[in-house]
Amino acid sequence: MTGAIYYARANRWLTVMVLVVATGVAVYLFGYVNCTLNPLTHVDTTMASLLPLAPAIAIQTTLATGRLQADDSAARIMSRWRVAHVLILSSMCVIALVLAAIPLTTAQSMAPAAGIKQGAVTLARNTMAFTGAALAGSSVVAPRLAWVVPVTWVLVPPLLLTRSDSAEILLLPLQPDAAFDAFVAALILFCVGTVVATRQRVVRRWHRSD
Amino acid sequence: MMTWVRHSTTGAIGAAIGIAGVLLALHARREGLNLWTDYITGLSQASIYTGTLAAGVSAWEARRTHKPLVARLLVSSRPVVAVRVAHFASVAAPLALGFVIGVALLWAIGLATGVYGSPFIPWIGALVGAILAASAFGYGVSAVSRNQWYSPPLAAILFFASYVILQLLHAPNWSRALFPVIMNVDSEFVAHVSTTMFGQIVAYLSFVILVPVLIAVAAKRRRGPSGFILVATLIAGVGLGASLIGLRNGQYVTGQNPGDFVCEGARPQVCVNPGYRAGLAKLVTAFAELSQKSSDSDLIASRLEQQVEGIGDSPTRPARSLYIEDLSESGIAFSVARYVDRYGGGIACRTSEHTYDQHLANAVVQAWLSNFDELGFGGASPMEPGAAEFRRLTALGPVAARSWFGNHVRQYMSCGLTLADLP
Repeated sequence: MTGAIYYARANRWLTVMVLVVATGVAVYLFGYVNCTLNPLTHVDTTMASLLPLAPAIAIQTTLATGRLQADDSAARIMSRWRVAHVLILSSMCVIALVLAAIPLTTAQSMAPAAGIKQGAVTLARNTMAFTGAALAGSSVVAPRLAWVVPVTWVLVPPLLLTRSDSAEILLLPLQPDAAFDAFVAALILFCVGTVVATRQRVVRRWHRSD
Repeated sequence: MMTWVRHSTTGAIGAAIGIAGVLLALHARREGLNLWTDYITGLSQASIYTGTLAAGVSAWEARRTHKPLVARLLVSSRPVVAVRVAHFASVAAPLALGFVIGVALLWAIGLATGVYGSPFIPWIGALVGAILAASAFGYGVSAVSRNQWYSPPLAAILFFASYVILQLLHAPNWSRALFPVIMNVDSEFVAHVSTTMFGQIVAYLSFVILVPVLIAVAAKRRRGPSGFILVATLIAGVGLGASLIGLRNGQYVTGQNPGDFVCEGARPQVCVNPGYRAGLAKLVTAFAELSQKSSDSDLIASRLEQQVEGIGDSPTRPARSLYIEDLSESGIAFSVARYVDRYGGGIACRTSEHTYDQHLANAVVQAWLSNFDELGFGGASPMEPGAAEFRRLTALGPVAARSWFGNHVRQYMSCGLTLADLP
C-alpha cells in the first residue's frame, strides 16, 4: 500500500484528479458551446469534443514526472504500475466526463450551429484517443513534448479537410457520438499507446532524455 | 536521427512550423489557380497551429534550459536583462527562422510552378511577429508557473483556449487583431490595410521584448529606474501598436478591384484577373453556351468582368460582374449560376412575393441555364416537384430550347413562371 501511495504521489495523481474534476465542470458549463477550428471552411465543433485534451495530456505527462531514475533502476518491474497509472486515471477521467456530459446528451439543443451531436460518447472516445495519441507520441519524441501529437491532431486536420471529406479517423475528435469507426479507432489507439508508452525500454529512453 | 531530434528540439519544431506553413499554403490553392494570395491565406490559416506549437515549445525549452540560464545569470558580467533577452532569443529564434525558411521554400515552389502575384511583405512580417509573440506567451507562462512539469502543455493549451475564448466572446475586431493568430483571407481583389499589419508588428515585437525584460526586472532584488523605464517604453510600444491596429479597426483588407484584366471571347467578352487566365477558355465556352440558350434576351451582356461581391464590385459600364471561386468544372458552372442568379429572374423572386411553384420553376430554369444543378433536380425521382420538368427542359434540342426560352423570358425575368409553363 505504501508503494502505491508513493507512486501516486510521485506521479501527481492528485493534480490529475483535480484537473479531471475541473474539466468535468467545464464540460457541464461550456460543453455545448460551439467553436470554429477553421473559419474559412467553417469546420465547427463543440467545446465538449476539445476539453478532454487537457486531462489526456496530464495523464501522459504525469507518467513521466515521477522518479524516472528510480523507475529505471527499480528492482521490481514497473511496467505494471505504469499500466495501472494509465488505466486508473483514464477510467476516472472517462467516468467523470461522461457524468458531466449527461445533460449535454439529453439536451435537445445540443450543438445547434455545428449540427452534430457530441455528448458522453464523444467525451469518452476523445479521452481515449487523445490519451492514446499522447502516449504513442511520448515513445517517439521527448515525454514532455508528447502533447504536440494530440494538439496537432486537433488543429491540423480541420485546416486541411472539411467535414464532407471521408476522413473519419483524421477528423476523429470532431466526429459525432454515432461515429462507430471513430470509437473503435480511439479504443485501438488507446491500447497501442498504453502498451508502447509503458514499456521499460521507453522509460529508460525518457530517463536519458530528461 | 531520434537522438538528433531530441537534442535539437526547438530546431526540429521550427522545421515543423515551416513545413506546416508550406503544406497549408499549398493546400490553400484553389483548383486550377496558383496565386500568391492563396499561399498567404494558407500561411495565415496555419497561424493557430504554429502559434500553439510555438507557445508550448518555448515553454518547454525555457524549462529545459532553466538551470544553465540560472548559472549564466550568476556568473555573467552582462546585465541580467540582457542575459534574459538573449535566452529568450535562443528559445524563439529557431521557431521564427523555421517559418521564414518555410516562406522562402514556398517562394521557390511558387517560382518553379509559375505562381501569379507577389507576397505582401507586411503580412508576412505580421505572421513572423505572431510566432514570436506566441513564443513570448509560452516563455511568460513558463516563468509564471515557475518552470513546472506542466508548463509546456499549459502554455500550449492556454494559447489555444485564449483564441477560442476571444472567438466566443465576439470581441471587437481590433482586440482580436491583437492576438497573435492571423486567420485572414487574402485575395486578388483587395487593397491591403498596411496600418493594421504595421501596428501588429510593432505590438508583437514590443511584447516579445517586454516579456523577458519583465521577468528579469521582476526577479531583481534591487530595481533601478532603468528597468522601469525600459518596461514602460515597451508597454508604450504595445500601446502604440494597439492604437495603430485600432485606427483601422483591425481590418486586414478592404474591397477593391485593381481592374487588371485579360479578355477573351466575342459575345460575351469574358475578362478575368491575369491570375485566373488558365480558366479563361472554359469560362468563354460556358458563357457562350448560356448566350446561345438565351440569345433572344438581354440576359447576357456583351462584356463580363471578374469582380468580388460586396465592396469594390464596380464593373465598367456596360459590363456586368462575373464571380469566380475556382477553376474546376463545378467552379466554372457555379460562376455561370451566380451570374444567372444575379442578372436573371432570381432577383425578382427575392424582391416580391411569389408562390412556391414560381420559386421552383425559377430554380429549374436557372439550373438548366447554368448547367449547375445545385438542388439535384437531375438526380431526383420524377415524382419530385421540378424533376420531370428539368429533365424535359434539358432534353430539348438547341433550337427548341432557345425558342422556348425566348417565348418565356419575360415571365422568367419577373419570376412569373410556373411549373406548368415549363416544357
